[in-house]
Amino acid sequence: MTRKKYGYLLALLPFFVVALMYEIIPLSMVLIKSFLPDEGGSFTLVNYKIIFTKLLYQRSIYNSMKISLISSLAGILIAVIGAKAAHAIKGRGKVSFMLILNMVSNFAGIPLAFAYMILLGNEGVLVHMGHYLGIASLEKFQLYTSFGMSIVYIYFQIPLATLLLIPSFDALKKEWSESAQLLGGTHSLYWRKIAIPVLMPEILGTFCILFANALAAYATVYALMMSDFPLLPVEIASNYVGEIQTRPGLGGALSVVMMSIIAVMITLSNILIKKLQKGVSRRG
Amino acid sequence: MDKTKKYERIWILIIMIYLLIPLAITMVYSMFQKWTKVLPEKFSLSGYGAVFSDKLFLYAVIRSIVMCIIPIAVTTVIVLLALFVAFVYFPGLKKFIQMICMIPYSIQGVILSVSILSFYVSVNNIFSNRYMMLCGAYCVIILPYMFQGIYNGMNAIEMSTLMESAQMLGAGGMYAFFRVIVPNIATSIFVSALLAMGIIFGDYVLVRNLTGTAFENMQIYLYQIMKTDSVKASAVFVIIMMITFCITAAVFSLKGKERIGHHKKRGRK
Amino acid sequence: MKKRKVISLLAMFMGIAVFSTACGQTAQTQEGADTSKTAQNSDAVSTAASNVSSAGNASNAGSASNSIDLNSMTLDQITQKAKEDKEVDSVGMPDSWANWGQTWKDINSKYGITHNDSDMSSTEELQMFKTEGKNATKDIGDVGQAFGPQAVSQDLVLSYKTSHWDSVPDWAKDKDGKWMIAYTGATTFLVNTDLVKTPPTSWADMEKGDYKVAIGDINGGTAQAAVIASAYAFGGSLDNLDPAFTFWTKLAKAKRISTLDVKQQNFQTGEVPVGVIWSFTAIPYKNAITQYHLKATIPSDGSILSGYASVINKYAPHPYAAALAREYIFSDAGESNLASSGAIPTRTDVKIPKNIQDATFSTADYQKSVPMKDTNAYEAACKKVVSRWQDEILPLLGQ
Repeated sequence: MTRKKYGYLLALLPFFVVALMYEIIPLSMVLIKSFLPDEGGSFTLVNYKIIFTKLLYQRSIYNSMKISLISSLAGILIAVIGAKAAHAIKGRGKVSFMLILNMVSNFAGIPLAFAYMILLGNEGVLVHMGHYLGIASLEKFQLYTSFGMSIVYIYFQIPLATLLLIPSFDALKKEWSESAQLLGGTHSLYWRKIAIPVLMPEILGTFCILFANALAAYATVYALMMSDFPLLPVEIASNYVGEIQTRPGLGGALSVVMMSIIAVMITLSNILIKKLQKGVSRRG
Repeated sequence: MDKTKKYERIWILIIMIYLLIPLAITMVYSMFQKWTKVLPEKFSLSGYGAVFSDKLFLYAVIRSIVMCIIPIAVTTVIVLLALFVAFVYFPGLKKFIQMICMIPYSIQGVILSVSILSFYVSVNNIFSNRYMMLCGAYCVIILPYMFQGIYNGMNAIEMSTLMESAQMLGAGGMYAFFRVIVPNIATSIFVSALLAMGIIFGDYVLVRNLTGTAFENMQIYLYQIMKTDSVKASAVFVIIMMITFCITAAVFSLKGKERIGHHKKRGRK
Repeated sequence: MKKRKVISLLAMFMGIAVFSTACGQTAQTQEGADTSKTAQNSDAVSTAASNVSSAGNASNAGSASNSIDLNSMTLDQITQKAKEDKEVDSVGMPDSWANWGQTWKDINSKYGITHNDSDMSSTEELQMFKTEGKNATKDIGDVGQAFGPQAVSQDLVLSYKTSHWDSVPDWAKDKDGKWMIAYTGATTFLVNTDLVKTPPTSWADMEKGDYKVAIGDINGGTAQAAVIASAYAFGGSLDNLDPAFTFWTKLAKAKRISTLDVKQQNFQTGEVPVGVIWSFTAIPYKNAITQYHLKATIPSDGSILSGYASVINKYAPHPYAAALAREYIFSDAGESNLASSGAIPTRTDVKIPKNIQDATFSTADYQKSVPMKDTNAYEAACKKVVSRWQDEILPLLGQ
């Protein structure tokens, strides 16, 4: 029995091989390079020192985290509402909803930036409409600010999160809601006390994905703000593809910082899941 | 219950409209020559005409689709196998696999492409082939999506119970896996695969850095056109969306027939 | 307990694998650096020998370890071999930049050579040459003039003087012909006259306006040139950028800096009312955009001239096609194509014909611009521009 069990480890092999070749090794190279100064030399922490002392990089870390948190929270909220709604209606409506979600999840990068420019940019359609109808908030809307960016980020978070959550909502057993009703509970009680806690692991997991997705988003925000809005991925890219010189050490260090932030977020959410799981037994 | 259903329908409608507005705008933009005020002027489908008569566009579409198939297939298989073993036999490995799968989020785009390129280009064997590098890079990029979808799916069904019952009825490990578990998480797999396809379709940086713009996939074609004529580029984009929609619809309708069968079976209990 | 053992075993295995590959990789790169140095030394001696051998295996140019000597071949020989190459792959030479589109079309119709381009910044182009090394996929590039010397010092390029060598001034070429500047451009304002009622003709005008101004990505050469040009307008120079930053800080505080890129599509949608670009991109954009009326002006108080250098990849897979391309670029027809985009040809014996002057800018307009001949000083100034912009202007933007 034990030999057979270890035999199953072989099934893990292809996964690890692919991950090693195309993820772990390039990653380690980035990590190693981050400890080498750009001018040549040996092990040093100077890249990290630059990151934590230069205002530009401090700002980018702050901005990245702010926008990612805001857009992920908003995204997950809307996604929970959407997935719950999709769970309630079945059949045709649900299928077309998922179809649209899937189609729209491809809508990112420059096309998305361009669409928002036409909508809400300086000469945007909605801006002109606001001007004619006298709606000040539309007329004065500034797309090229952190607020405008958040709006655009939320847009591409929604389809991703909803699509990931719909299968989890589908797994909620009908018996649970029925027993809750039989015992005299209301609809909202069922959702608050039973369904959402059960779904918490998946919701938190999806939140982490949203966070990482927002943190690493580059093409869309670059198209709208170029390098003028300090964000981590923009700074990383400009260290690799600037006009003056490439600084792989600094870029590598910034990448390590970004990865650490995501790692911290994942750890926090895992701790949260464990705490919540204490009271909930899924196999009941 | 019907009242709640109405509310739910309204929510879904609101979300769908919000998501479709930018797409609709792009479509309208592609159909008019000039849009400087509230209403567009000069209706013309010349953008679409130019796109359809452009052979490069067709090649770009085909290239994109071809580039999707291998990475999605490979990643699905390896993640399924790995998570299967992790869930049933070594639950401790789950977190380890999750860590590996979440990493690609932070090394997207420029970093991944530059590091893969610089590492493999000097190795003079099959791995330095550009398309191999691109394939590998794509496999890694879609790992998080495939992982999360399959993980959610496996969490939702009770794997050990199912496996035990299957084994009690005489099925071997692998057989039980493929015939029992996989069909149950098929939804998740399909959803993740479609998401992954979207990612690969939308990729620009990896193709540009690894294979160069000589290998024109859809995004590169789009960006080249965008530089010269944004109306034509919008037309291209609308067409891309339509294609995605059709492929997804086809996949869903195939699956839908399966699922209706499942529902009926469950109903009898 | 067993699970822990398994996990630790796996972790150890992966750790060993990672470190051994990492060490192996660094050793490899060190070796690679050494061999390229020795190759350089033996170049001079083996040039004669490689001539014979390279003539024999023109199609395997990528695998030749010594660089090809293009200068000892006649133009006919090169044309012949270029036709055999059949295609040329460029970096950073897209159709819309300085009217390369016309040049590539001409080369195709005249010699039957097809063309592909990957648009990248100058740094990316040299990076690509360097990373790809012997497995190169790119033949020819166009880099900012500050990058020519860099390309030579990193030994990334081939030498080819073209038949117009003598008419190119000394400041526009490397002494061995490893880079040659075919054109320069002047800082230009591209203004959307439908949206801007008082189009600026100088930086002083711009200061008084109320419209938004875009210069593009500060990490790019175009934006850096714009800031340096503004320095000259307000009494500064390459060494003194303070007047420039006073001006841009004022604009930033008034929320008049647009963060969009100065690409054609952003002018086309009207999102960028005023952009600061080069004369050889302003004219093509102006001609291509039908949605608005655009006007291209060279600012009268501050404009600089900067050029772009043609570089041929040392390990180019189609070196003869690349050489022929460079030859065509410097020919009368090529320089004329450049001129019609608003670029100034560097060849001293080429005069821009009057009809092209009327459609773009007169030579009198160009005279106002300050040429950037000292590449080291210019490069240093660009670096200062980027770091000062990040420290002083960025915090005021996008809030």
